[in-house]
Amino acid sequence: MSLISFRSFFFYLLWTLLLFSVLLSVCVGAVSISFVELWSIFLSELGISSPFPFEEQQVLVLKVIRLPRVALGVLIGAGLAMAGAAIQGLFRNPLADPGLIGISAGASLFAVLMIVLEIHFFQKLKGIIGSYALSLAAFLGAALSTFLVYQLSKVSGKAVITTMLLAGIAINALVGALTGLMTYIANDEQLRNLTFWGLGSLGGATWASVLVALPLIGLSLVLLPSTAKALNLLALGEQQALHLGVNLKMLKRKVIILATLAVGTSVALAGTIGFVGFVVPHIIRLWAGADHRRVLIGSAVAGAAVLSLADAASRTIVAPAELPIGILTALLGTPVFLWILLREKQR
Amino acid sequence: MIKVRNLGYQIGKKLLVQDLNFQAQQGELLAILGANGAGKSTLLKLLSRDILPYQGNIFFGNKALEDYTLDELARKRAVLMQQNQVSLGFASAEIVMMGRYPYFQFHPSFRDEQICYLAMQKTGVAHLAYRSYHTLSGGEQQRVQFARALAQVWEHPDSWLLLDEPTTGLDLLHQQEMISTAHELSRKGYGVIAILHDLNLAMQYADKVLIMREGKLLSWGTPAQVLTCETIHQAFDLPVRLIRHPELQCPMIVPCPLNRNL
Repeated sequence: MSLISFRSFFFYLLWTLLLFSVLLSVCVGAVSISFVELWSIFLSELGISSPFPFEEQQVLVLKVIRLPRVALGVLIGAGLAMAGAAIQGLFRNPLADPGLIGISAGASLFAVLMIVLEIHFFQKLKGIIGSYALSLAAFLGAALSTFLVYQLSKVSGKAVITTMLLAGIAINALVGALTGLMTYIANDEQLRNLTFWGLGSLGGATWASVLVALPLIGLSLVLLPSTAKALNLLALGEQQALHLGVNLKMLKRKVIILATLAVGTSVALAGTIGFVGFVVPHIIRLWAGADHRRVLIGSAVAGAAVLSLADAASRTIVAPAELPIGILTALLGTPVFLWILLREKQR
Repeated sequence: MIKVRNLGYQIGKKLLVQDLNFQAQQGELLAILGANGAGKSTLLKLLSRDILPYQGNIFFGNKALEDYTLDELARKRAVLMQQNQVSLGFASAEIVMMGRYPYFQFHPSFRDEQICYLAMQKTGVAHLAYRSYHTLSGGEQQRVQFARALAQVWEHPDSWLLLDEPTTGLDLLHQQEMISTAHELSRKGYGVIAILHDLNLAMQYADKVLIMREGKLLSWGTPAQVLTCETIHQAFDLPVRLIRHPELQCPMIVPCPLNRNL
């Protein structure tokens, strides 16, 4: 069947796209590095001399700024997109998004609380684990609000998906109001920090933040694909999935915990970056079909590529300044979102 | 064998099913009949273990239904429900393959692919394999779902098929085909339990008939024993006549005209 060969071709295409975006993202920016220079830096690191010259400054930029930034972008892009795909599968709704059930809002609320209130305990925590503290707080916020939504959605012991969406909207509104309150009482310096959370940026990436992201997002990337078959069955309906041996309670918990892990960590390290988790899985479904065994992995690869590209763009559009990446993904994502909405309506 | 003993289920104070006692054998087609709201669907849900806990006992073989793991049960019985909406844009063949999911980890074997194709041929939807499920008509969707249920129990003739009004939405030909497929499977050893609305299909194909009324068992036995004018009248509040079928041995059930003016 030509359909199947097209789909495997599509996956090669995705990986190629990722490779290309990573290379591009490594090379462009305030200090640009050409492909040739990149290649000679790579060779010289291996101890092989190369005929093409490069500057010492480029090596420094590459190692200290560019590489960790691209690595973080790849992890976050992959994590957001795969979590988005899994959440859409769980909610049996292609319009669902990790933001809808309060994951992102909870994470930014806690981050904002930490920044503005400068809670004593938090300062202490910061002394012990340094830059991990804010990430930990954001992750706790994400987990807490998700847990709250999950508990609220339980009707007679079962988590009902539509109630869950409604509970998510309520929690989002509450968290939004609290975040607003914090913005209101914040001082100037804190406000600048807060803007960072609202708009999202990979600008703060260091090897330390990559080391935070790698195990947390990595875990979610490795474990989520194991829910693919169960998510497919869920598309048939909850009862039908049950008849085919799906333990719904376990599945819901697993997907929500793993998605929270990926999204919470992302928000913690780079603020809220919207639409990647929503638009990317959609595009993958359009090209590769609805099977989650393809959609989850495809979304991760494409999400990584899209965020790398967006980050490269955010560094070049208003160079030497930087555009927050969240603005860029929202600017590009909204038209795509509307297009998908209209397409759904026409069916 | 499925054994049902003193089965009861209630929501709040409303008894949906009470004091049910019957058994179903493998190699038999059991038809469940009754008026709307008689408790047929609740009974089928209880048998598929959708509702827990319940009063009384249901035995699947020698083991109580609730002692099975979900995985074991998925290989022991397939359920075809009335409403089958699929939320994402899967192709028909992918839907049918889902019936094989209990049998493989990540990639289906060649045998799984074969079984899917055979199941789709059986229900006459093989030509729709690569069509998106959304684009099919209601009857075609129902047949794709039936193929999925068949794929789930394909190589296990000792397993069960639970069908909730399988013929709803099908045209005349496909109604006959679906029920005769179910009948044929029961001859191969499967146990088939189906909720039916068409009394004549039950008369023609069922080995046993169970009639429910207001959550209780009204009558249970062979079609000839159970499908009498009096029982049907009692179950459906509608007088009927039995007339001779022009070709078959079994009689035909026709409703008497309602005369509200009298």
